[in-house]
Amino acid sequence: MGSVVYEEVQQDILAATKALEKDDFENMNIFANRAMSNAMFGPDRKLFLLGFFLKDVALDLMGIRAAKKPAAVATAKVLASSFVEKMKEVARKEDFQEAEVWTLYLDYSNKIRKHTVTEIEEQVYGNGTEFMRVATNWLIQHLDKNRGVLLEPRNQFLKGILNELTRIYRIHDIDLRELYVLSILIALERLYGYMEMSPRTADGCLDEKKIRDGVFPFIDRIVHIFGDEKQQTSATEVNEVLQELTYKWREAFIHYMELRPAPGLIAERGVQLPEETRKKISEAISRTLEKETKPKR
Amino acid sequence: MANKSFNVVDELIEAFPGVPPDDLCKALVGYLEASLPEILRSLELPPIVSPVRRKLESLRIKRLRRHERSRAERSHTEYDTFISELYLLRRQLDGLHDSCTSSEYAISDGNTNRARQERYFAGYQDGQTSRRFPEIEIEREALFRSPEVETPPGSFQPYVALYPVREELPAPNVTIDIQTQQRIVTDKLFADVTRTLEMKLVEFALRTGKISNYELVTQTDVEIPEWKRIVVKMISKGTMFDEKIELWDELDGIVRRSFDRLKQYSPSDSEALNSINRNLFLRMELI
Repeated sequence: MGSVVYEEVQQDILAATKALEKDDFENMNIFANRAMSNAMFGPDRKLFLLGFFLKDVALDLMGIRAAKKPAAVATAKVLASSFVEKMKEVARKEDFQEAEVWTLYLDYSNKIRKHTVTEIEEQVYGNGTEFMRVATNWLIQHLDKNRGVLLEPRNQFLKGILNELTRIYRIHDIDLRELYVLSILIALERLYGYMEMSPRTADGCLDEKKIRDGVFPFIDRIVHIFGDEKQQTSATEVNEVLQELTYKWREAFIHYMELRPAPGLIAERGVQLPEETRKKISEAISRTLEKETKPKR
Repeated sequence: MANKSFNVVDELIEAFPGVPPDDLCKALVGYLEASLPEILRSLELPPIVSPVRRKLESLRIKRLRRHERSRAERSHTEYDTFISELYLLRRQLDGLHDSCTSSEYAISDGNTNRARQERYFAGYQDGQTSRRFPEIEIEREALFRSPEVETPPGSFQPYVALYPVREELPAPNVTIDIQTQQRIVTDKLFADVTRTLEMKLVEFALRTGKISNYELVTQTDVEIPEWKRIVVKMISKGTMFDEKIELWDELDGIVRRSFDRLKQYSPSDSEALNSINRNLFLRMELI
């Protein structure tokens, strides 16, 4: 029998598995969020990883299903289920090793990525592990040197970096180091999303102090962990950063819940009046105009 | 309410004398459409009446005269539909509950994070493709799959969502048995074959609209137990025998040709692909 928090997270994982079985990937995402939020209530930070990976699987499957081409959802689900089952097995012991889960996640990531490539990409691109490393290093350095961009209103800097990383990742097999970078940047972007949406200064600028204090230290740590390519990446440090980012992200959710994106940052949704209503407005205008132009007796 | 709207029209005409009615109408519609999202978000909506309370009320109004009863029933239905549509609309405006821990908060504000979803569409963001904002598709699908936001048929709809609901394609149901699943997980090449095969099968079903089910199973030969073959069972409903045979033939051709393409991508796997191809059988349920 483990701690109450551990037991609760186990139930969240079970719920996510059941949602996966039923192709209910939206609820799987919710159960994964729940696992991360519940992990926050206890001292064991490594439980965050389970929810983080589950959320990833849910978003993977939602993405594959939403793709326009006919997708092999059933085959993708087999890979996802296998990963989730293995992860559950590892996490059956409360003192499980994070490294074991990362290995499973790496294997899953390299398998599922093929479901997102186009026929041409599959045909043309070969092994790009070395290139992925070069690009990752460049992007980390770029983030470090240009972190000030994160203070600019309407910037998409972290999304832009993720865009570059993921387009390369989609077409090549990824190494554990790059998967670490990708995961940490995804978590950082989630947290930054909250800071980006939080109250701004009177002239519409982002709260500089909040970002300097809340995001920049993480960039320092990312540079520290991955800056020296020749040095072995410290898995402990990676886990610490990822868990801390996830903790802060879930904390931000408690503070602000689902924040509405700032106007103009993404395509604004709207409502359209039905044709019938438009016609009525048009008639009302015509009638009023007619009345006004009629000679008064 | 009506008077107010006419006042708006009067004021509009007064403010822009000599402007053609069509332009005035366009301007007013544009203004209303631009303002409605914010109005809807800031509206304090009354709670949706519980089914228990509605049931009690319906029992109470049974005592009324017939025309009064039907008037009360109509007004309840209109009220419920209107309120639930306002909730639906607000939810449509807000988007996917990405970070939520429970689905009931779906009515609250929209999401903030799309990083992972965007990875699938990375590299397509040159501005010339429709995949630029794929999350809208995902959100919309998620919203309309939620049972709470199902619109009752024939209901009154005050507004129409700007993004229409995408019609569900008649996607076939694909199931894979345990043995085949195990092979997908352990054999990378076989996983690639199954992915390609499933895509071809789904594509064919979507194009023809005549296949409702596929089942991928691993079968063992009774006489030679070590010989395992993969059988794709297909179910076609509403088609005659001859048509079924034609569909079977056509799909078989498509599947075999896809192996040729796989061999082109990966010539070193040709032998293994030939072996999978030899042991793959398509079977149409003819009864």
